[in-house]
Amino acid sequence: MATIAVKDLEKVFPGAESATIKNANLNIKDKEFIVLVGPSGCGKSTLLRMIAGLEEISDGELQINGERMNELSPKDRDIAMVFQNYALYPHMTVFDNMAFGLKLRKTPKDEIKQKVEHAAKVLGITHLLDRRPKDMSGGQRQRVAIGRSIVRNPKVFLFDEPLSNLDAKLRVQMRAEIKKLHRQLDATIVYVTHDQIEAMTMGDRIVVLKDGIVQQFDTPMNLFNNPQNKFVAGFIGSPSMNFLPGKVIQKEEATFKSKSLEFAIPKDLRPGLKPYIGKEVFFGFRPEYIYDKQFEKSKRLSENMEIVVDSVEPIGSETFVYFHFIGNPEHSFCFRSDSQFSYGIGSEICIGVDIERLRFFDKETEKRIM
Amino acid sequence: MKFKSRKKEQLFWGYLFLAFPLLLLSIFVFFPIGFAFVVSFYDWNLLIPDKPFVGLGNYFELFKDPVFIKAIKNTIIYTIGVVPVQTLLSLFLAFIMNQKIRGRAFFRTAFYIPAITSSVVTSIIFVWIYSKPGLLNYGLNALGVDSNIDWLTNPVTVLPSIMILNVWTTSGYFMVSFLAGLQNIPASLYEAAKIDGANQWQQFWKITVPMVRPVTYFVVIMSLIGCFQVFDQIFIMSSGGPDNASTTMSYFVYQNSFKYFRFGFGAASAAVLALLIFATTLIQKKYFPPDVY
Ligand SMILES: Nc1ncnc2c1ncn2[C@@H]1O[C@H](COP(=O)(O)OP(=O)(O)O)[C@@H](O)[C@H]1O
Ligand SMILES: [Mg+2]
Repeated sequence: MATIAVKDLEKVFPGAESATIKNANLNIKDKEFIVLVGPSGCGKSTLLRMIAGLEEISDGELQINGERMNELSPKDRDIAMVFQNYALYPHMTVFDNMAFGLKLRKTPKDEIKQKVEHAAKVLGITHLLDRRPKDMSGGQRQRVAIGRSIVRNPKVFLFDEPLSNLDAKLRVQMRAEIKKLHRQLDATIVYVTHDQIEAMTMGDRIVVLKDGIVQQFDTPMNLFNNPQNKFVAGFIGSPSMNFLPGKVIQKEEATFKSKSLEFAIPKDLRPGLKPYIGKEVFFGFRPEYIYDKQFEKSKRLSENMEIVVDSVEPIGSETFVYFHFIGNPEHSFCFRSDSQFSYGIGSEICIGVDIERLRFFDKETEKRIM
Repeated sequence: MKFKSRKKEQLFWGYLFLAFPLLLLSIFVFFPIGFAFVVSFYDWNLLIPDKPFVGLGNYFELFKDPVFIKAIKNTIIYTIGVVPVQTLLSLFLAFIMNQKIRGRAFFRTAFYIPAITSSVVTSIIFVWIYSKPGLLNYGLNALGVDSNIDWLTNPVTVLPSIMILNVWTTSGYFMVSFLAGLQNIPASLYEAAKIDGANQWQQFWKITVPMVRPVTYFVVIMSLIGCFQVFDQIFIMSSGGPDNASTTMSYFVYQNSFKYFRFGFGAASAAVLALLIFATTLIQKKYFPPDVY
C-alpha cells in the first residue's frame, strides 16, 4: 500500500542559476507503475532522488501514504532504489549484497537467508549467490541490484535508468521481467528512463519532463493521441511526429498555408482554429497516419499533398519513407509505408493524412490547439 | 621485418634509460646492502686493522646482548603501538576530510604540514612540549591534572611520548593516501547503503573500510617499515635513553656502527632488522592481501 503525492516540488541546487525541478505536481496511486521520461538532463534523476531522500527538497512537499516525507532520511521512507550503474557493493558476495539491508535492520539470520533465497529464486540468480559483482555479466548484476531492492519488501520501488547499460536484446527481456515483477510485488514503482519506447511499454502512466517542468502526466495512449504540447507530441512516438510551420488563413474556408503546402482545414477542426486565423501555427502529423492516395481509398484523408521521396529505410514489416513537399526541400519528413509498396528515390507521389489525426500547435506557446 | 627491428630498437632505448638509474642504485644501494651482509660475518672494527672472519659470531653475540633484546622489544612495542593507531587515525581523518565540511582545505593543509616538516624540527618542538616546564605539563596542570614529570627522561613515558609524536607527524601523510582512495569510491555505493539503512558509522565500517583496503595495505606496509626503522626522532629526543628505554633496532645499529665503530656487529644487527621487516611484510601479504575489486 503506497500512494505518492508530489506537491509543488522544487529543487534548486546550491549555486545554480535556476531551479532544476520546477513546481512539480503528481498524484501517484497505489500499485501504479509510473515512468518518468524526458531528454537527458531534464531532471528525472533529481526528481527521483528527491522521492528517495538522497536529494534535499528545496520547496514543496512529498507525501508517501499521505505522510510528509521531506525531513525523513531514505531508510525511514520504506523505499528501495535500483541505480543505473547498479551500485552493488563490490566487496560483498551476491548474498551479502542482498542481505545488507536486512542485516542493518537486525532481521534474524534464518529469516534473512530465507528472504534472500526466495528473491534469488524469483530472479533466477540462485546459482550466483556466492559470486562477487565483478565476476558477473551486466545482466546478472542488474538482477542482483533488483534482488537487493525486493528482499526488504518496501512500499515503493525507485528505478533510475536500470536498463540503459544493457544490450538491446537483454533490455527488451528485462523490460518484460520488471513488468512481471511489478505484478508479483504489488508495489508502487517510479521508473526513470530517457527512452520513450521503454516508457510507453512499461508505464501505467507516464510523466513527461522537460527542463524540470512536468509537461504531461497521462496514460501512454493519451500521450500518443492527445499530446498537450508540441514537445510531448514530438517526444512520444517513433519515428517522431512531423511538424511543418505555417499560417492559418481565411480563403473560402479556413486554410493552412505554408511555403510549399496548402490545404483546406477539415470542417470538424475549423471552429477550434478560428481564433488562429492570421496567426502562425505548427501543423503536426504522425508518420503512421500518412497514406499514399493511390492505394488508400477507405479512410477520410486530407486534401492532396505532393511530395518527393528523398530516401527509404525498409525495416522489414514496413518502410520509412523520408520526403519533402514539392517546392520546400529544407523541411524533411517521414512516413511509414506498408513494405509491399516500393518507392524510388526522387519519385513524386500524392499523399494524404487521416483527417482524425491532424494536429495543430500554437507557434508561440507550443500548446496544442486541436 | 620492420616490426621486429622496431621492437629491438624499443628494447635498446628501454634498457638505455634503465641503465643509468640501475648503475646509481647498484653503487649506492645494492652493493652496500651486499657488502654490509658480508661485513656482518667479520669482526670488522674501524679502529683495528685486523678484521678476522668470525662466521655467525656476531649474530650469537647479538642475541646474548641484553641491549639488543631490549631494542627488539622496544621496536616491537613501538610498531604495535603506532601502526594501528596511525592507520585508523589517518583513515578517519581522510573520511572526515572527504565530507563536505566547512574549512576543509584548511584542515587538510593543517594535517599535512607535519608530514612535510623536517623531522628534526618537529622532534625539537616536541622536546620542548615534553620537557618538565613544557606545554604538555602546563596543559595538564591547567586541566587540573597534577603533572610534573619530564616525559623524555622517564623510562616509562619516553617511548609512548615518541610514539605519539610519530603518529602525529605521519598521519597527515597517510591521510592523503587514504583521501585518494576514498575519492575512488563511487558515491552511489554510499547512496545505496543509505537506502539500505546504513548510518554514517555503518557506512564507514561497511563501505569505506573494505573499499579502501588496497590503500590500507599500502599504508600499513609503509607504516610498518617506518616504525621498524624509526631513528631520527629517537636520536634527537632521547638518544635511546634513559637506560636504553627508547633504544630501537635502528638506533642500536647506529650506536654500534658509528659510535663504537663495530661495523661487523652493527651490520649483523642491521641484517636482523632487515629480516624482521621482510618477514613481517611477507606475513601481511600472505594473510591480509590487498583485495582489489
Ligand atoms: N548535485 C548537483 N549539483 C548541481 N547541479 C546538478 C546536480 N545534480 C544534477 N544537477 C543538474 O540538474 C540537471 C538535471 O540533472 P538530472 O536530474 O541528473 O537529469 P536526468 O536524470 O534527467 O538526465 C542537470 O542540468 C544537472 O546538471
Ligand atoms: Mg539521470
